[in-house]
Amino acid sequence: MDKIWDYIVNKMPGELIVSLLIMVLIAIVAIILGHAIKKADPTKPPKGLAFLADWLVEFSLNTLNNNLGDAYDFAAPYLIFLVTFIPMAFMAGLFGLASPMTYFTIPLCLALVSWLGIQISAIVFQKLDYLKGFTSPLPAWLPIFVPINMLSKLSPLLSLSIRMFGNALAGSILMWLIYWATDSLSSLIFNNFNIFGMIIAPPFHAYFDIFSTFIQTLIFVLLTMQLISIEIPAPVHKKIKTKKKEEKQGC
Amino acid sequence: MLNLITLAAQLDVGTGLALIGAGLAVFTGFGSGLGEGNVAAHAMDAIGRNPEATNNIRSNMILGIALAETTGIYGFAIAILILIMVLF
Repeated sequence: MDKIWDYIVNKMPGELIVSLLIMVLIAIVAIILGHAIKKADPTKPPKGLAFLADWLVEFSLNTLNNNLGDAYDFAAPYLIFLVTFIPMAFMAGLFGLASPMTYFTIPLCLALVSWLGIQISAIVFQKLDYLKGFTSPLPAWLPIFVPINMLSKLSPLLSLSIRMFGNALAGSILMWLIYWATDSLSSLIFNNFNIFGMIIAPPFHAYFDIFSTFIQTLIFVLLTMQLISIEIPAPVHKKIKTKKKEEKQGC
Repeated sequence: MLNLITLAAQLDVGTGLALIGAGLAVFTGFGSGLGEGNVAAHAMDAIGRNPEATNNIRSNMILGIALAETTGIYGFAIAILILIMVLF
């Protein structure tokens, strides 16, 4: 216990602390909102944060339904977590905190969850064909392509995690360069007062912190769903979608 | 700036070549930039021909741009790896 406490106080990287703080914040808001929504009057439209939560749930259920069919409704909480956590983690740089996305463990863990989702749904939907797929262009008795196929199964993990990590790191390095340059420029006029940074930096913050955040969140969510829907064989996918349409017409 | 110049003066030839390698790795951005521009141009064409499908085309365009961007990000990650290996 002492060792754990010592690690948390002295050696834990700032990025991990920020990500834990973000998670605690999300948990507190979610618990309070849950209580508020349980007590709320269902006949009246929701207000404030409750409205946002309502919209978020509806949005995630809709996107899941459009891309994957009804079978994936249970994944809505994960989608809501992605949509809330990734923007907050990216934007931590705006508030002067260390952005968790520049610490490779965190994008790797997010990508790992998505990757497990992809592989598990592939196993569930394809069953034995999943194992046959490892030898894919050749027949099953000639397993020459197994190592290559195993590597290609790993590639979504790498591409999802490195994309987020690289984008966040590139943004933070460019911001650091801008602050460095404006600092040495304004040191010609004032001591220790970055006046050019105040003028030049904000548009770059708007691009690297806010715009890039939304694009990356969208890409991560969309790519996760697309990669899962590739793994579902076409007949099953079609069946799920037609079932949904029939239900809609029935209503 | 002076710090960087004095740092560069202390490096040996192998380190300098490794740094040139890092620069070349970032050059992958050239290809991925061309690809992204191509994707966006064709998406604009598609929107011009079929304005009703704008939302669908936009989400697919962002997906395509993200996939094309991957190679550029790989180059950047490798450049950062080289820099970390060489300088620290």
